[in-house]
Amino acid sequence: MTQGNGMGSHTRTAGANGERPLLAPGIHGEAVPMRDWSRDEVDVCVVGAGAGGGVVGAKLAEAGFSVVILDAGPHWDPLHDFVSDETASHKLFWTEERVTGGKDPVELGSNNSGQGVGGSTVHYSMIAMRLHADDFRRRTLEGSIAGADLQDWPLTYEDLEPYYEEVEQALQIAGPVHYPWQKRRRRFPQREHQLNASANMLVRGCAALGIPVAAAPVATLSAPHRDRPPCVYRGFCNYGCSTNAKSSILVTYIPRAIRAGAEVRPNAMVARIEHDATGRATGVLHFRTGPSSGHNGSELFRQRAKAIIVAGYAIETPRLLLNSASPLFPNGLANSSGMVGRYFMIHAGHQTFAKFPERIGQYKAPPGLAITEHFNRTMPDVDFSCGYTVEVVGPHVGDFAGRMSAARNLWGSALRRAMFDYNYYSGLGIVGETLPRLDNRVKLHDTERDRYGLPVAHVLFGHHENDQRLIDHSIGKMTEILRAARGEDVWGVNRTAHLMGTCRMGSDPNASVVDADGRAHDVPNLFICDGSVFPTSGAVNPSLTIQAIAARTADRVQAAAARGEL
Amino acid sequence: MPDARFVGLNAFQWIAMLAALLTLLLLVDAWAGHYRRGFIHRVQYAPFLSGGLLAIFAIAAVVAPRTGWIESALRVAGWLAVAVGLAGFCLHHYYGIIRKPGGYKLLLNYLMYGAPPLAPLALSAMGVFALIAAKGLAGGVDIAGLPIRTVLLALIVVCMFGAILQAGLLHFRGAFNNPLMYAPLTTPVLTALAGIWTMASPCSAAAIALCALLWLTLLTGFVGIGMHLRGFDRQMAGLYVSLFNWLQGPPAAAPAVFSGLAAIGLVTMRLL
Ligand SMILES: Cc1cc2nc3c(=O)[nH]c(=O)nc-3n(C[C@H](O)[C@H](O)[C@H](O)COP(=O)(O)OP(=O)(O)OC[C@H]3O[C@@H](n4cnc5c(N)ncnc54)[C@H](O)[C@@H]3O)c2cc1C
Ligand code: SF4
Repeated sequence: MTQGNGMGSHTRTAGANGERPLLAPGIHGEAVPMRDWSRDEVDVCVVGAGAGGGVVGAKLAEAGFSVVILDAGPHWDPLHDFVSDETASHKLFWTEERVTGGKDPVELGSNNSGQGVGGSTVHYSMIAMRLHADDFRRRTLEGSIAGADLQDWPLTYEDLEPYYEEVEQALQIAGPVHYPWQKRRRRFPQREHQLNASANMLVRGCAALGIPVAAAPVATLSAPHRDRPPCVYRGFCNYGCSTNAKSSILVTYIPRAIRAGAEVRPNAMVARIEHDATGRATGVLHFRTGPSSGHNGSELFRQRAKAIIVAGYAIETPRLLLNSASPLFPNGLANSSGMVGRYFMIHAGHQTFAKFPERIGQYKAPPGLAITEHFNRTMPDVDFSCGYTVEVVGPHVGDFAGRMSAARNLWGSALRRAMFDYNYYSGLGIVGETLPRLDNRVKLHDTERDRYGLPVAHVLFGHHENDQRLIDHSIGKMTEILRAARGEDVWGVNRTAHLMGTCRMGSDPNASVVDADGRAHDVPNLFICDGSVFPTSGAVNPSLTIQAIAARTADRVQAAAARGEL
Repeated sequence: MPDARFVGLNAFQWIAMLAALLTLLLLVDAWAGHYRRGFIHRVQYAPFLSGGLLAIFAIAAVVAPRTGWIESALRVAGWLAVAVGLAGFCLHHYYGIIRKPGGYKLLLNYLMYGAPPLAPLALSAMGVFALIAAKGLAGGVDIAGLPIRTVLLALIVVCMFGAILQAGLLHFRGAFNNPLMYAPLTTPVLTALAGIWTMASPCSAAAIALCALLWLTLLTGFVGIGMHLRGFDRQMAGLYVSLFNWLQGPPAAAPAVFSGLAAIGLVTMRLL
């Protein structure tokens, strides 16, 4: 029996193309044949084809499971859809309506998340870092901090290490032979990249101050790999990479999934997860749009599945669970703890820029080619806990104008004049750990609805005072580094990066949503593997950890299936 | 002057000719590297001047051996190439590593992507080959008391190790993405070792092994050129954006160094 809130009244199975075989865009402009699972009950239905969903879907398909991966956005064809144009690339971002609020509202839209097959990895900056062993034990190391709720992860670094290695191999991460902050590790599959002028600037500044610095590990090829060429350093990484050098999920795991027999269904916005009377998930209801589907989003389709894996990222995942409330789960699916949507975290992402005597061309090459994790630890002589990583940033001209305008209050001809020097600026940004707070949350908006009539996400965020002290410290350090690198005229802009928390993992069903395997405490055949499961944020870019967790979740799902639990 | 000839040319004519050809190939790669950086220093033209002179006089010596002024000119060009190569080595080291942000702290990155550290020494080596050819063409039989054959073998071994180091470094940068990228670390290494063996105990087994391996290395170089052209095509848009990919991709002519050295080795073994 399937329970619902009335949405299923106009539902039908998802088959839109009759008996026609499905075709998906390949990564070289070709069309690739694909299975059509819309009329069947599949073993696994994955919601979201991004960093987490792509990995878990592909691995399970390769393990012989029948898999459907649904994504709300299109299936991109890199050669035709990605253009070297900042504005035209806004289609890659999740720009559906969301409401932001709280003491320090987070800017949503292009800076946060993607939409479409590949998810946010289509436009991310490719910095591919592992958390450190200490990041999994924040509560033990820092103790209790008033106003925050630090937790140890139910996983250790050792649990994730083989999965980090697995995804680094699959994505052919290019990184340094000796990474100063992770000495005992397997060598990156590809060698570090040559440094661009911005990265040279960070190296020069750090070297002058005696701060260790290294080439950043990044998910773009420094040498050809199979049918993909190496990076050409043109720098349009945040707007989709049309060369396929970038190891996004779109060009790595998705082709693997399709080859292994999965269906990747684009323009399929999942509205709710259905369950039976015993509380087991039975499938999802989704709207379909886009010319290839032949639908306009007015009808709901049902995809039946034995297990559901949600990987919609830290805003859409809790929204989907909350939108899936039913008489059996009145507070939302998997939310008996009341923790769905809670502990929403971002990374502090303050950026500091300086003008240099020589031409930099900060947009050239991948944006974050050098890094220092020197401050990524709780330092003895400071007034805050946790730490931050300093990375090179390289905003394109439109983004940079926005930052300049906001930070320096420039407009009109004054902004235009200042922008003449765009190529002489270079900047640094941090990935700073913020503390998890109960009141930082994603909930359903009381009145706002999206184009499908679904309640939109209402995101509330306010910094803990520790976050602010960390940011202040980082501004001082970034300024020192920029000055030591011969930069002048230093200014900064407050920003945030990455989304985490909202379905935190933990061993206590009353204080967390999923267990260490990503399995919902309340619904035995529901899994979550995306940025939302992080109990603490760490101070490194999160996607590699999301991918490692997803690779592990795939193994755990297999193990559960082998035990007959799914 | 040795009597043995191959296609009408004696050993030293062959060595002069091979040195000229190898120099021209080296200049092709040097041009790609220096052009890529926009010839920002005038001194970046030096190898073309010196290498050009070396090639011209080496070929002149092949065409007109025993011509006094040509032999003198070849000697001057040889010494000039040695000097320019050594200066290039120092400049590559200075601009490619010391002057770079962080210097030795990012040594591996700069060794892989900066000015190729050992490449200028190849010009010096060609200068030395030309000097030996000039000496041989003038009737000399030893250098500093050592037979020319031994000196040539020693030089080939040293150059082989240099080329192996440089290729190994760049193939490491390419993460050995094709198993054939291990080739420069196999046959040439064995060839160099066989060269040492031949010098240490000149028995027929050593000579046979060395000759066989020299042939193999000759082949390896040609296969390498083919593979580099394929690597060129594996870059974004391949031959369609040929200048960019030539500058970014694997140096097309570089593997010829192995073939050239092997050919000089075979000339040494067969004609001297
Ligand atoms: C500009 C930018 C730069 C970044 N740079 C880096 C970086 O350098 N390094 C790094 O590690 N991280 C970076 N990130 C963050 C990284 O991209 C994300 O953390 C990561 O991709 C999140 O993975 P995910 O699987 O949780 O979600 P995503 O990759 O965002 O995938 C979620 C997918 O789910 C789909 N979806 C959501 N809801 C539904 C629904 N209801 N129905 C159907 N589909 C749905 C979405 O369309 C989307 O495709 C960056 C992010 C941005 C925005
Ligand atoms: S710089 Fe490299 S990774 Fe970025 S878009 Fe260009 S080719 Fe792709």
